[in-house]
Amino acid sequence: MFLKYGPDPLYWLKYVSRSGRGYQTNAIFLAGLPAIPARRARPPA
Amino acid sequence: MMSLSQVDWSTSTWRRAVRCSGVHWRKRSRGATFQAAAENALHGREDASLGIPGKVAELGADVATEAEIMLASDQFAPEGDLVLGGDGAQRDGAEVGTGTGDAGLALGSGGEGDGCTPLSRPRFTLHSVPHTHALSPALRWTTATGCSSTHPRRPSGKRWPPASSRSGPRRASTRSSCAILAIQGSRMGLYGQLGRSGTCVRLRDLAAGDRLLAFDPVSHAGPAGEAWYARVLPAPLMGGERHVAVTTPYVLTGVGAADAARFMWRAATASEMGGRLRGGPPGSRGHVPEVRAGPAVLAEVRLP
Repeated sequence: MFLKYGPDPLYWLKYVSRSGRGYQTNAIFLAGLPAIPARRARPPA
Repeated sequence: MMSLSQVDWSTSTWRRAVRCSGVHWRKRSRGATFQAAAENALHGREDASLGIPGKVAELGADVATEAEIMLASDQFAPEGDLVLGGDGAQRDGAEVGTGTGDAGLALGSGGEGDGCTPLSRPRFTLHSVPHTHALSPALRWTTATGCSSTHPRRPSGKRWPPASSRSGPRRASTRSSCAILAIQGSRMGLYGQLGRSGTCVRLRDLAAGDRLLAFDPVSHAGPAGEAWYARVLPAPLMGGERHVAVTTPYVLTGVGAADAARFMWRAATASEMGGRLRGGPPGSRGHVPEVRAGPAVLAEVRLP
């Protein structure tokens, strides 16, 4: 699910749209990797 | 604004091509199946084909939600052609498909393809399905018609489709459902490119750790060690080893396969610390099920 939807529904869409650096007929170039969601403390049991 | 329910689903429309972000599946005969079409595609034959039935219009209406969908590809979609693709996003002021997220259909509007705007937004709104049970209407519909979309392969020694489902709409529904389900059941992934092998590319799934041989219709000849963000469908033929890369690959510049593997591992670790995957189903808190590879892959993908 992380790779399909990400932490939120726009995660991968934002990554693709913000990191686009051009394209050619058979490839689209992206710069960098998406940000990793911040770690959160495990809630107490 | 034109919606799928307003499309004229005449026979001529039914014969129009489906373009799947670089892979063309075009209906050739009434007996064509998704598997046959995919096989043609794998062998590079132009007549690789897949029919889309009128029922898709109803299917599209059934699963209508708020998200629009477009195609991200260097391929342009001729007017009236149907396109199977992923979610879209705004880029450089234009709506473009990214191939991410859920699968859906779009209607081509013609025009030159340059990877930006292959579909005409003003004429048409396409709705994709939002989450994990996205295609449950399709599944229900397929079940209702008696066609098995989960076992679309021709059983050996038997006629397929079965006589009970040999009428036009039912037969067509199997093909379309298979195509949609194949895409919807897939996900984008981060891959390490290991080199080319003929018309195929050898990939390493950096999340699962699997090695894949994937048909690459756009033949991007980048160097081994590149990191790709791409959508790869499973092998369409039972027992086949060649998967199908249906999206024009996103090539990560300045990032190697090892960096991408490290990213996946860190993302999984971050999630394990309590981050919730809101896009996932209930119970997905606390882990990233796709990430099975762990640091072992990280060590292996360090290419020269």
